Amino acid sequence: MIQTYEAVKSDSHKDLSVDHKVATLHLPARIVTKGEADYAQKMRDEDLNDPKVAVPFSRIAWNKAVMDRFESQKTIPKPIYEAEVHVVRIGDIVLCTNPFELYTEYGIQMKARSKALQTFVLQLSGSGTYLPTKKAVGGGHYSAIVQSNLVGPEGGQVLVDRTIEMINKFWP
Amino acid sequence: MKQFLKRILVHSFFFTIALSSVSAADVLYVGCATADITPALPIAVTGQFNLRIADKAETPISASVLVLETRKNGQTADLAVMVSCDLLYIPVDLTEQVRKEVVKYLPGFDVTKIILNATHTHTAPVMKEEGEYSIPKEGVTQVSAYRLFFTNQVAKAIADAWKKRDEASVAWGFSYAVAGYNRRIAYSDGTSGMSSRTNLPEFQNLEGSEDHDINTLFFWNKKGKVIATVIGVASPAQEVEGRSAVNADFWHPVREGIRKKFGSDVCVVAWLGAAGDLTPHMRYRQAADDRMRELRKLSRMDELARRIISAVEEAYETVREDRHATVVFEHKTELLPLPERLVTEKDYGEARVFITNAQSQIAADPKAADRVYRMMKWQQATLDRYERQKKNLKPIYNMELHVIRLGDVAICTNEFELFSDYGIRIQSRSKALQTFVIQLAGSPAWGAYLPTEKAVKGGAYSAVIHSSLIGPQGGQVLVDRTVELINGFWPE
Repeated sequence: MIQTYEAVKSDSHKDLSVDHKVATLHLPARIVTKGEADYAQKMRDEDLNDPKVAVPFSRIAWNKAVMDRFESQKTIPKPIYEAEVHVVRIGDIVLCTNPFELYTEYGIQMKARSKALQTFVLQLSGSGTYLPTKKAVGGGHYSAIVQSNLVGPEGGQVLVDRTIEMINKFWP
Repeated sequence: MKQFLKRILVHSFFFTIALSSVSAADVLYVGCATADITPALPIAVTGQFNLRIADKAETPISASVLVLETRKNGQTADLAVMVSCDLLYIPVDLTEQVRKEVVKYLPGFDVTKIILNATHTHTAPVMKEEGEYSIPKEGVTQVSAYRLFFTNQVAKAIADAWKKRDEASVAWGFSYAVAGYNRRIAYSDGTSGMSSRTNLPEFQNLEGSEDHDINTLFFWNKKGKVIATVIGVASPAQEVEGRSAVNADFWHPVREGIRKKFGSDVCVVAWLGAAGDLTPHMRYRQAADDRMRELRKLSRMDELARRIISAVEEAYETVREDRHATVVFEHKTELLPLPERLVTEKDYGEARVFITNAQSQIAADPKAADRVYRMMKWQQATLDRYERQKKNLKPIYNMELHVIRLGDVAICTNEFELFSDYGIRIQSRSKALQTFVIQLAGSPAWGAYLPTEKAVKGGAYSAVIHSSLIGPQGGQVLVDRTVELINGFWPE
């Protein structure tokens, strides 16, 4: 940080383009499969019925949420997650936000495709669930299983594409 | 009482025997030397598909020799001779040539303990006599002449370092610097590119890992002066790779910076980590990086050097009081059989077509050889492999593997441009406190990459059949055996 400051301190700017756009992106939510819902119920029931295990309440709620999502998919088969996204141009750089624990690949995609000189990606600007990649979903485990995500890779790509669209409009 | 004392004595005796059979720290001896291997100009330099004749040496190139020996009761317990060279790669027969020359200076020396590794600079002389480039026979230093010069310089330096060795101490350090970036780019259609574009909607991710560790060793003489530093960086020295010049690449400014700090006679030894899929070039946000170094008034090479030197200095300041004059030191070497990657009929067919076209181009215009000869020979090697496969369905390549324990650290070598994932697998499973992975320690061929499974699926240079004699199956064997040997130094 100090090294960087020393390099840029003589390149400060008073007059610069500032623009702040906000959008609510409609991201396809991750679909819960029957298998995943059944497994979540099994885990939930085991926790509820096992008096010997010190069970944190949050794990029961975690699995219950998956069961609830599966139920609501019966009436809304293509659920949407509304994500508030901010894109802010400050001179040559841009900030963009998202409400997730966004896997790094998505951030790198944004930086690579952004026309800004530098792109700050700010995750966890909001409620925060993981947003994993396709290979992570394939690999499984915490952060990539359905309990961990409201939005999956399909939604992640929409997030990237729309964010880039908003950023690059600052540099037509 | 007598019986009791007798029992104590007997137990003490066996306890001492047990202790002495466990590796004990021995006295460390270190010697070092730097050989100038800058060639007579003009000379063909290697690393690109087109022929380049260098008529200038923008920097000297050198070979840094580090001799490590431990002694027990005044006798050599074990030794290693590490020679890092500003070259693209070290053909295995060149290592043998150097070893033979060393014996003339040091009769009876255990030359199997000599390791030559390359920094992978793409602006250094061609080292393979035949089959790489169509080099003019007149007006250019010939490969055979340079190899002889190199051999003499390095053998002399090894002998010199060996004779100068003296009691020393060592400290190991660890820090970080971003000098290597993953250059394999994965796209949404499942294909990959090598150093290809990322500002595309199809860009998905960097295909592999990056390794920003800077592993260091510092050596002091008895007077407390730093005599040598080892710097392990997972980044090939190819920032100026396209130039028609001799250039040590970023290692030159690194060496200059280290010598400014520690003295002009310090030996700076460069160990290139597993970096087959890495490069000093950036694949995105380059403009931001360029702006920062322009504000610092630095060239890109100087910027890379700045980061590495910073990391080395940081580590040095932290570890300088943690020196060891006696160390547990052991050096194992073996020929490790690795299953070769098989050439398919499709590979063969495509190579055959390319070679035929290239031959026609050269026949029509001999100057076309400057462009296509290297690529033609590259693919010819694939045809040769296919033919050999007909007689031997499970071909094996015997790779010379070295594994060294030096105190709390492990050092391991391989002959490939090893993709970073493999280096990280080795480091993750190693019981050593720190593990230096050294790639390109001798090599079977130009561009001997060892790609991962996902790279083979993605395709592109460095993962296609011509690029790799050994594929993912062999890569895993390499990792497993290397880890087995390393962890053998730290038994349960």
